[in-house]
Amino acid sequence: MKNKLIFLFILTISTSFLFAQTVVTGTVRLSEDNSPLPGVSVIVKGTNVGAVTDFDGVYSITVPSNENILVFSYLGYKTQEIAIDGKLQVNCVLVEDLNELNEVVLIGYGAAKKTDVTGAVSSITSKSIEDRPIVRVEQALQGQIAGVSVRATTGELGAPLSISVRGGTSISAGTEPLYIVDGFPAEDISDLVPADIKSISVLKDASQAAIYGSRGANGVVIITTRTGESGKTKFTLNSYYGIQTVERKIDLLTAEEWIDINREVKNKAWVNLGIQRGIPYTADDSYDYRLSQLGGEVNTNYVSDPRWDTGEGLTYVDWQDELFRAAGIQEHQITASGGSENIKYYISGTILSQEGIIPYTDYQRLNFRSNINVKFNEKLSLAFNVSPTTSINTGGGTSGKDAQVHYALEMAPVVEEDAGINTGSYPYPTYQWAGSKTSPIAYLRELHQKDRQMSVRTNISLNYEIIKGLNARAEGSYYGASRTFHRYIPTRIASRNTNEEEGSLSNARLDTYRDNKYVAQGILSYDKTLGKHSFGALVGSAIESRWRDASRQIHNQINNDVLVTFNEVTSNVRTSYYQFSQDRLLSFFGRVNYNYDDRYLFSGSIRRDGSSRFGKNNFYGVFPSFSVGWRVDKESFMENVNSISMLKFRYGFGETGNNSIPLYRAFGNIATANYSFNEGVNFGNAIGSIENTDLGWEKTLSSNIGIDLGLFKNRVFLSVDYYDKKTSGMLLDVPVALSTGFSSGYTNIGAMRNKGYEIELTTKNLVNEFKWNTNLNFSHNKNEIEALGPNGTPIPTGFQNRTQIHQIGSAAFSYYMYDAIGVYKNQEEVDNLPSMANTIPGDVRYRDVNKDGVINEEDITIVGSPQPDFYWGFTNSFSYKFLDLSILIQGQQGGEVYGLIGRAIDNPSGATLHNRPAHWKNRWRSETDTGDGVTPRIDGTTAGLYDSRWLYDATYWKIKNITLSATLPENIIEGIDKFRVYVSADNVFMVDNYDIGFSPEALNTDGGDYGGYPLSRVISIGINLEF
Amino acid sequence: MMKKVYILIVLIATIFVSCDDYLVLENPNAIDSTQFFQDEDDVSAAVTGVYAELRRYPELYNIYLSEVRSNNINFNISNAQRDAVDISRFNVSQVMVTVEDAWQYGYVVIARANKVLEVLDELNLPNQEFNTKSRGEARFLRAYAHYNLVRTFGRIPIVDETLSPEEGVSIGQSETEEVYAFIEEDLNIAIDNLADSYPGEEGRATKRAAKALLAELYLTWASYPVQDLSKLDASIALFEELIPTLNWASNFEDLFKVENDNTYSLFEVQYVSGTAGIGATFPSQFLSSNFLQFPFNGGVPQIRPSQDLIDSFDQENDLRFNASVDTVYTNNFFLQQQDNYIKKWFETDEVPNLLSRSDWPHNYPIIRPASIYLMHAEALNLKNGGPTTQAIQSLNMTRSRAGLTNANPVNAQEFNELLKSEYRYEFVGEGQYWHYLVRSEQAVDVMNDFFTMINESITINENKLVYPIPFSQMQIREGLYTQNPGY
Repeated sequence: MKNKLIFLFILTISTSFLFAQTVVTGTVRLSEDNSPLPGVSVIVKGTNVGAVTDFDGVYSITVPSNENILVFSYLGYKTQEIAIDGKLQVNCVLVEDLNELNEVVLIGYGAAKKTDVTGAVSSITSKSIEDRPIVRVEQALQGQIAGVSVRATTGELGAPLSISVRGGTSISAGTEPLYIVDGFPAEDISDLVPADIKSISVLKDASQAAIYGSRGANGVVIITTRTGESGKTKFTLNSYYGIQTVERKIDLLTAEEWIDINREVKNKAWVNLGIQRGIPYTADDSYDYRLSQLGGEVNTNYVSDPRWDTGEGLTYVDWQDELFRAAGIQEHQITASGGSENIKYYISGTILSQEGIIPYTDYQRLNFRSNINVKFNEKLSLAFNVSPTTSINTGGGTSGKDAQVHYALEMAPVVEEDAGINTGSYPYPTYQWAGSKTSPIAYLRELHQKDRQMSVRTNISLNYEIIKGLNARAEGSYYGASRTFHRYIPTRIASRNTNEEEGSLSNARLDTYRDNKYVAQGILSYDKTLGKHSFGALVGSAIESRWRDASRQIHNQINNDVLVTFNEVTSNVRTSYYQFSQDRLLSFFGRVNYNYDDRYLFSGSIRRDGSSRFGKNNFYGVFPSFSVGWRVDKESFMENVNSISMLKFRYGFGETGNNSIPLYRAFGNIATANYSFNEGVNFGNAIGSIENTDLGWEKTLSSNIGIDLGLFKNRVFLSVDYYDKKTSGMLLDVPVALSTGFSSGYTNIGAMRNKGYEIELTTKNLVNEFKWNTNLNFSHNKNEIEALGPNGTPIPTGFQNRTQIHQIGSAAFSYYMYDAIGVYKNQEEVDNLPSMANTIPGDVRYRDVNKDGVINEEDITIVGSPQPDFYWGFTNSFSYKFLDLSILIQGQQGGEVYGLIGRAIDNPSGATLHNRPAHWKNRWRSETDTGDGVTPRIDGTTAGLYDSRWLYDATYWKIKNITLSATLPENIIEGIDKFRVYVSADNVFMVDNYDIGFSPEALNTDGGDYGGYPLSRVISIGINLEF
Repeated sequence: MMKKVYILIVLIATIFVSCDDYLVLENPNAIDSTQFFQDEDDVSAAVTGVYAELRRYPELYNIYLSEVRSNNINFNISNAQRDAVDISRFNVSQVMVTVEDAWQYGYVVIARANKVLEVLDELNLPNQEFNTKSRGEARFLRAYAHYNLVRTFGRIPIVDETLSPEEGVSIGQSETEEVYAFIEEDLNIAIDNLADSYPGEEGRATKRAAKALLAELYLTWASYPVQDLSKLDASIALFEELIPTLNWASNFEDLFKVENDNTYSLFEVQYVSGTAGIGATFPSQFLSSNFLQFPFNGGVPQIRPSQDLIDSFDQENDLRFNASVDTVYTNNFFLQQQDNYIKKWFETDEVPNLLSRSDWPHNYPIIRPASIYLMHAEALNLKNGGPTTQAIQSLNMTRSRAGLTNANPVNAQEFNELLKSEYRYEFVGEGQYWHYLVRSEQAVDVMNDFFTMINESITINENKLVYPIPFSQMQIREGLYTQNPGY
């Protein structure tokens, strides 16, 4: 008997063993059409054993002993748990999670169910970031979120994009939103790899942003990075390779056209010289005759190059063709993630290598990230993230005034054959009939410039659950970044004179920066549900301290051009300084939420911030807010209205601030003012700025009213928001009477208003095997200045303070200049129409704004604004079986861009020296040949003025991105769980009105475009492997 | 477990601790102005700071706003906007940067001088000698700044104390004569406070400089536009007091060499080469970018002498011709290029020592013996309505040094013609000639004749003898300032 029992026992054990080894299989199908669903994650509950369904929806999993529950999950579907109960086959039908709004969104110092949010919050997930060859996080937001304007102001490698949320709230302080990365404020998000990001939320209104108080006025962008999930370790490889080409070229004169115009100008000058000298010179006079008359001197004012007839000995160059190239970009990322129930990890390494479309520029970046979550016990848990990054940006000097793109557009298209594209760089002189610029290609080639950056962001967060619902969090963050910028300009490109000694004009610069910041915060939060009442509260405090070191050394006349490093013995020290700066923030904050039966929602928050940036009388600011919401669809009277699946009204009101003013503005400073007595150097001092101990916060009061409407089981989902934001106490560098000895002083005095509305519409047009979703977002914002300095004095700004203005009643940064309305065709028009004192026929004609019959400074007027009337993004995604296609179209309507580059190359001053836009072919030549009526004479009198001829409508739309991807069936390659390939194209196609510029988004020089690094069109292919 | 909770609570509690001191951060890169002025060193540095802004003056007031205005300089119409071109062609707008700079930097010197005067009163430092000297310097500099402003703009605000932004918009313009009276008072106090010289500190204002400026002020006062002839006696007396003290250079060319900095003049704006960034830019303004011997950028635009100046010069005899201008240079293609340029300060030996185009070591003469003699002659002629022996003697000082024969004018008209020539050829690039033309009411005719001669359709009237009040200042508060007529 005993033996029998032992036998039975052994049998049972071995059965359990057998059971443990049992492989459970099954098929996962969709509830709608019963089609098999690939890619569903299947996990044995309580373990890290997992599997994924294959292309036929079939999975197979080895279930360990004592485990009985399988968890099936798939994004967008309700997660299901099914007991195995000894079965060998477990099938599952997944039901679409119609209430996607159960989605959790990130809010300040926490997260909330999207359905509970009563403010204006938009978010995107990693889904819309994947499969695009983007280098920076901001790119992911362009065209995706209503109310968030992302402007790609430059194509420079590694350069940030300009973001504004619901219009800028400030003139002198910053207008960029506050970034929160994994719970901590971040000054810079250059260190983030888009592929590491899990989700991004944008807090757009004060009711949400006020918890970030003094930095919330421009909105808050909350970014979280990926974390591991329990289950077996997942490795992924994400790679793409792309080819970048310039998005477009500018239409300039060809070499032949340039020669034609030049020949004409020389001939005219020659004939005029004859008139002065009383000798009848004619345009047909030969080269030799002219030389004999000019005393043998080749005076390029009067003589054409005889080689222009044949082109022999000359090379015709299209500088844009030389300046732009097809360039490669590639990024490779390997990640490992997974973990047990108690320890989860996400580790990634990413390398980016990008060549610039401008030669001799490239960018390389290496990122690592390790996100670890540890659950010590039921009560105590820890999150620990570290992300070191380093990058090298090589070459540059391309964007803005007097940079190489500007020069390339200006270079004469004709050069000496032996010099070719090296014209003007040693040992080649410039072409005698051209300007004195060094070849931009030679400049870029010979320039040694490296910008090396590295940073580490470390976040640690300890969470303790004191009792159920009551959590205490102690968190700390340290961010350290350093940057070394080194530039060496050798003599051979520093001078167009060809006889300079090596090193004599060389110039080297070294800038080093170090940025340190720590944040410590403590948060106590409590959540409780009692019947139909849900209650949440949070209190916390934080301190932040940031300090920065900056130093600069500039040396010149380095004794050779071989070494690019320098020392004080072999060169002259021109500049040498070290600076240190520091600022601190001390904050207390709190929030309460209440919700009754999911129908009535309330939330209120308050924050008190103290900032060292302000005057000693004004360190502190308090920022309160509240918001309410009403879920109409949850009311009993809506029970029978089936078509409406969601209807919520939201209202929020609150105050936020802006403290991003330059440091130490509250102080009156002593500035250095040296002089020399008896040929020595005497150190002198003078008061350099006006003290203002009352300097304080810019505050923005804003209200937001919104409605969320879901129809037909949320297949149509619409959100509409209207807001009104009023900024007061706006920090202005107010002009003061120069008779005080100062030109301006910072004062909290201005007021500005931003009003607007936003619409986000998401529809699922087709939901069967062929799926089609669209997402449309549309934003309108109107900006208006309501108050300025004590006398309302307008503040000129823009290029040389002569192109833009801040004026009460108009948008900030309005374009302010003469309004060009044509040319004076003849003397009669000059005499009869309003004109300037020195106007001559063929001059540009300006609008007589005040109708006093003369054109003068009083006719300078507001002619436009950089602010668009509205901007929008439109995404269509299609999927069929294993294929996905997504198309993002994005654009703006209205607004203007000022083409300083157009003006520079349009400027007649270089008439015979530089290249110019093609429209000069149609200029005014004489009273009988008046051209196109828009292009003036080449020697007009208004060249020094800024006028609306270079103001362009910035309306555009572009196909920003098209991505086609294919997910191959599982195990098509053994051991590979997921295999996706994609082809993606960025900046595919653009329609705009900006003729003499690369992009209507460009902004690089004082509110205008002086020629920047153009955007590139990128065609890339990529793969995602998961194994 | 409870222990851990306590630790956590303590951790959180420490974070909650608030402290105002945490937010008080001084600027580590600049001294707080409210705490700066404590002792003699600080005030001494502040006095130096007043002088520092003078370094802008020669280019602004003497060259751009005066010399370029005269027929010594001429620009053809330019396609690009350049202030110098517009000034030379009398096409000046209210928004011109140079005009705003003139207004701004005039008042910067005044504000700094006022601060020095106020701090001296506040601190009452024990070193009385220092106090007296500093007061004298501040008064002199405040007077000199007002003098430049009044000659440039006519009616200007008088500022005699530190102004807050609110006070700034409450002080309107004063009449020209009131400004003169204010300058007179300052200069008299400066004369009382300053010593004849400060050995080892050459470049500071001296009693002689203050007297010379006062004498010039009186001459200006007696001339156009105020024409209060009662001021002439005081002017002549001061000039005659100064004449015996002058150090007269025997060679004109030597005056502009670096080695003679602070040797002859009564007042010079000081510059030295080197990394302190207090070198001069003005010599570069007269040079072109393609000079073989000058590897830096020249003036943009290059300020060139007019053909009329070249042609009218007594090229054979007047030694000042070769010392002041040239008509040909070697360009960077090693070619001889025909072009007029002013070479007074183009000391090629110095070029290799320059760190940049703005690093010349040459001082700029503001008051030199030649101007004392010529103004003396001018004042006497104005008083007597014709040449006196003494006036002729003063007139011939510069002529004889220039290698010209002594003149012997018989009437006021002849005398004036000679005087005009002396101002014109002696002070090329120094701005004195233009102010003489304005004072003697010849500017309008001389310029209109000049434009007719060179076939330019530009006509000017008296309104153009001052510049417009800058547009930005007209906007600072409606009705605060009145724009000069004609703008």
